[in-house]
Amino acid sequence: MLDIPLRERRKDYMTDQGRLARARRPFVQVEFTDQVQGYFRRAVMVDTCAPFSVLPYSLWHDKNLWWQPLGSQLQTLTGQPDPEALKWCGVPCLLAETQAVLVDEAGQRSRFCRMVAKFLTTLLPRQLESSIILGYNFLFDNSITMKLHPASPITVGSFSNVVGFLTVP
Amino acid sequence: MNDEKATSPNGLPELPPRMSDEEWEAHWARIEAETPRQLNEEEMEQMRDLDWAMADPEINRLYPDKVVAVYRRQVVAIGDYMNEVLKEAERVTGRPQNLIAAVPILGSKSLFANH
Repeated sequence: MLDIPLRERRKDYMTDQGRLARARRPFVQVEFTDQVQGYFRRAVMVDTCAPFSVLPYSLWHDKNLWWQPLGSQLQTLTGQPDPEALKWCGVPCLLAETQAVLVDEAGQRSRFCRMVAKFLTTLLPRQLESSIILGYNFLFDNSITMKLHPASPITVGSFSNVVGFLTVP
Repeated sequence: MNDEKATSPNGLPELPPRMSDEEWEAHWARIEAETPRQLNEEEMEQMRDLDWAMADPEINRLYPDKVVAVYRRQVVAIGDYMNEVLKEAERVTGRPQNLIAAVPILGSKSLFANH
């Protein structure tokens, strides 16, 4: 079992009434496997409101991830195509799978975890193309427990702003 | 970016042949068996660079919605797309891309485009 720190990244705003508005997101370190160069790591946003994980085109395609398709269309259980279900930000996706490793603050790797994700089929606008999302299905598929304590961030090793953990069995 | 890579004629990339579930599991079992449980020192250094880039107030102030590549706590490339930034960082540092820390910096567009 390995506890993977969830780190908060934030951006502060001020309202026109002089109030602080702090935008926060939890991130984890995820390692992918490239067929050519080996492993590479990315800071990945954890979004439990995302039903599926999301991998941008430039990540899975240009980085030569090991992956395989699960389908290019989702249908209802009565067989009707539901094209909207397999889009992200309006862009068509494949449903596909790869595997990924989570990394803790001491550089320990978790076991390999199944990642079923929407694989975007085109490049997104620049500000979104680098967004990798770990969706709710990732937690379910890998029996991962998530604990959050956003109001009391701690430092774990060299990681500051740790607001929770993903426990990988 | 290379637009030719962005879409294939039918709008979807060509799908690779699918392995059987048994082959797929065996494939990953092989990779996992060859993967050390612990990052090596080079990889740890990359992780520290990544950590530094995410937390540094100056980087976050100067480069919202940009991708920044860092090597030994120095910004070595800045741009709009991760892969372009990594290519430039590879050219500047002579390091392989998978050992260069690169991170998208939070900005209003990336924070709120899909939320």
